[in-house]
Amino acid sequence: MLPASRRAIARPVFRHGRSPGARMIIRRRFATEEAIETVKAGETPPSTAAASPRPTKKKQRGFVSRIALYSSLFGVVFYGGSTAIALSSERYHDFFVESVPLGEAIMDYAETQGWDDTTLFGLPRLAIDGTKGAYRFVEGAVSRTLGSQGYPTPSPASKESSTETGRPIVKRDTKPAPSPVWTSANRGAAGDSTPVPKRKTCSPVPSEPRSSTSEVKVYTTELPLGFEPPPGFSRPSKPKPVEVPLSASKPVTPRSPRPPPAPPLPLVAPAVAELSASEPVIAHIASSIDNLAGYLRDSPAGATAAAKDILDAAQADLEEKKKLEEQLDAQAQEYSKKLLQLEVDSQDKIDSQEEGYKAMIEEERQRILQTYKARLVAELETQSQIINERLKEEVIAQGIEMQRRWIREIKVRVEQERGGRLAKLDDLATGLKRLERVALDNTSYLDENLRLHTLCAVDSPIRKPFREELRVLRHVAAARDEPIIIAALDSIERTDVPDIGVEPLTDLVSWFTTSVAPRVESVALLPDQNAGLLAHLASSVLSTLRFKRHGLVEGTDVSSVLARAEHFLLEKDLDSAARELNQLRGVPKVLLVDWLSAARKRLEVEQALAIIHSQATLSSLLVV
Amino acid sequence: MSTAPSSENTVAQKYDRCLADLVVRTGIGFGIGVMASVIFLRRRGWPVALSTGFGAGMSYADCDRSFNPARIPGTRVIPSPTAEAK
Repeated sequence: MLPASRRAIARPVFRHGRSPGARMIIRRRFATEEAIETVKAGETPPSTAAASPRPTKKKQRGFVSRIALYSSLFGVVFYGGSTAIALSSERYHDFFVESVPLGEAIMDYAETQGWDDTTLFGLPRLAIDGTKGAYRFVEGAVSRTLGSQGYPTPSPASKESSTETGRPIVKRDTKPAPSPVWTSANRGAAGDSTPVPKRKTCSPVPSEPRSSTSEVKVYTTELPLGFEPPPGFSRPSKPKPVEVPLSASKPVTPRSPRPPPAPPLPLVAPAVAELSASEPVIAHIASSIDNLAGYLRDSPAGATAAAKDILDAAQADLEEKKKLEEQLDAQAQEYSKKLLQLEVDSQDKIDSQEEGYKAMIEEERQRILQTYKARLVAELETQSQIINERLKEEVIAQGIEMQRRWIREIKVRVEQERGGRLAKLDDLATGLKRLERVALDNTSYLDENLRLHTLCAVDSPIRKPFREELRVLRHVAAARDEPIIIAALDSIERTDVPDIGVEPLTDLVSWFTTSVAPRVESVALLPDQNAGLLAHLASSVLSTLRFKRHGLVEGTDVSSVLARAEHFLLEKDLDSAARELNQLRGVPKVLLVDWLSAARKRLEVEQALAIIHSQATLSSLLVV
Repeated sequence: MSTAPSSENTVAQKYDRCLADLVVRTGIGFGIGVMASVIFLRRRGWPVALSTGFGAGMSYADCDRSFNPARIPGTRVIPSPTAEAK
C-alpha cells in the first residue's frame, strides 16, 4: 500500500491534469489503491485533500492549511528519507519498522517492489528515464490528438503541468518501481505486463465520464464471484471480454457500443508476432500502430478510412520489408559461404607454402650440418694424430726411464734381502735357544712350585686338610697326562686323609716321646698272654726300676725296640721308627695302634708326593 | 667317655676303673657288714670285716678279668706250639 503522503502529492497532479494521459495515470493508480474513491475522484476531488480547499477558504483556514502543508511536506520528506535510510542501514530499518507508524507497511512495500536492491546512484538515471518517458508520452498524446482532431488541443500550460508533475512523482518514488508516467508510456508503447488487463477493465470510458456518472455511480473494481456492487453503484456497462490475441492489442478494445462497429482495422501486431522476438523494434512499431488504430477507432469514423489506408500501406511495407530481409539474409548467407570458401583456399595455399619453406629450411640445415661434420672429422683426425705421436714419444721416454729405475731398485732390494735373511736366521737361532731355556726354567719352576705347595700342606706345623692343594696338583698332572702321577694321586684321594690331614712329624715325635713311650715302657715286662692285674701292677712297678736304654741298641725286647724307635724319630726317620715299633706284639702293640696308624698315613702321603716329585723331575728331564 | 681315648691309655683306664670299682664295692660290703653286725649279731666285729672283704674281692676279680678277658675260672689256654716256636 502507498503511504498517505504519496496520495496527497498525487492529488494535485490529478487536479491540474488536463491531458487524457495524465488523467489516466492518476486513475489507474487510484484503481489499485482505493477503488471507490478513484471513480469519484474523476469529477469531484475529495474533500479530505489538504490542497483542494486552499483556494476557496484561504483567509479562514490559512493557518490550518499551512500547518497541513508543512506537516504533509515534513511527512513526505521524513517517510521518503526514512525509507531510503532504512534500506541502507539495518539499525535504522529496525527502528523505522518498530517505532514509526506505518513504517512496517512502507518497508513491506519497498521489499515487495525490490527497492532495497537498487542503490541511490541509480536514482538519477531513474529520474531521467521517468522524465523521458513522460515527455515521450506527452509528445505521443499531442500527435495523436492532432492527428485525430477529436480532442481539443491541450493547452501548453496543461502540458507543462503534466511534465512538471511527472518529475516530482518520479522523484518521490525514488525507487525502481515504475513511475506512473513511465508505466503508462510503456503500456502505450510496448503494451506489456500483467496489471494492464485489470486496469483496463475498471477504467471508465474516457470520452464521457461526466454524463454517465452523474446519475449512477459505476462500480469499476472487480467484484468477487457472486457479489453485487453496493447500493448506489452499478456494474460498468459490460466490460468487454478482452479478446487477447496479444498483450499489445488490448488498448484497442472499443468501449462504447453505441456507434456501429466500424470495419475492423487489421491488426499489425499479430502479423509481425513471429518477428517480435528477433526484432523488438518492429514489434514496438507494430504495437504503436495498433495503439494508434485503437485511438482512431475510438475517434470519429472520418479518420478510419485514411487510417486503414495508412495501415494497409504499413502492412504492405512490412511485408515488403520482410521479403527484403529474407533476400538480405540469403545474400548474406551466400557471401558468407563465399568468404568461407576463400578463407579455406587461402589457408590451404598458406599451408602448402609453409610446407615448402619448411622442407627447404630442413634441406639447407642438413647440408650445412654435413659440411660442418666433415670439416670437424678432418680436424679431429689431424689433432688426434698429432697428439698420438707426442704421446708415443713420451711413453717411450718414460718407459726407458722407468726401466732404469727398476733395475737400480731391484739391485738394492736384492742386497737388502740377502743381508736381512742371514740376520734373521741368526736371530731365530738365538730366539729358539732363549725359548728353550725359558721353557726349561718354567717347567722346573712349576714343578718346584707344585712340590712346595703340597709339601707346605703336608709339612705345616699343624694338622690341616689339603684337599684343595691336591686338586690343583691333580689338574696339573692331568694336564701333563702322566699315568704314574695320576695313580699316586688316586691312591691318596681314595682315603679320607686329604680331608682330615696328616699329623705333622714334630707332633708325632712329641706324641711318641711324651705319652706313648712311657706307657709302653710300663707294660714292657708283661707276658704276651694271660697278663692279669697283678702282672700289670708288677710290670709297672718293676719297669720304673729298670735302666733306660738310649740310642741304636741291639735286642728284641720292648725297651730296646722303643730305644731304637726313639732314636730314629730323633733322626726324623719316621719310616724306620714305624718299622721298629711295628715289630712289637701283645699289650705294647695294642697301646701303639693309634700312633702307628697316624704315622702310616703320613708315610703314605709322603710316599705319593715323592713319586710325583720324582716323576715331575723325570718329565722335566725328558723335556730337555 | 665322650672322646675315644688314645690306645696308649687303655691300661691306665683299666686301672682307674678298677680303683673306682674297688672303692664302691668295698664301701658297700662295709656297710652291709656294719648293718648285719648291728642288727643280727649284737655288734660283733667280724661281720663287718667279712663283708668288706667280699666287696674287695669282687672288685679284684672283675679288675683281673678286665685285664685278662681270656681268664675264665676252671679253664686254661694252652699256647700253640707255633706260637711257642716264635
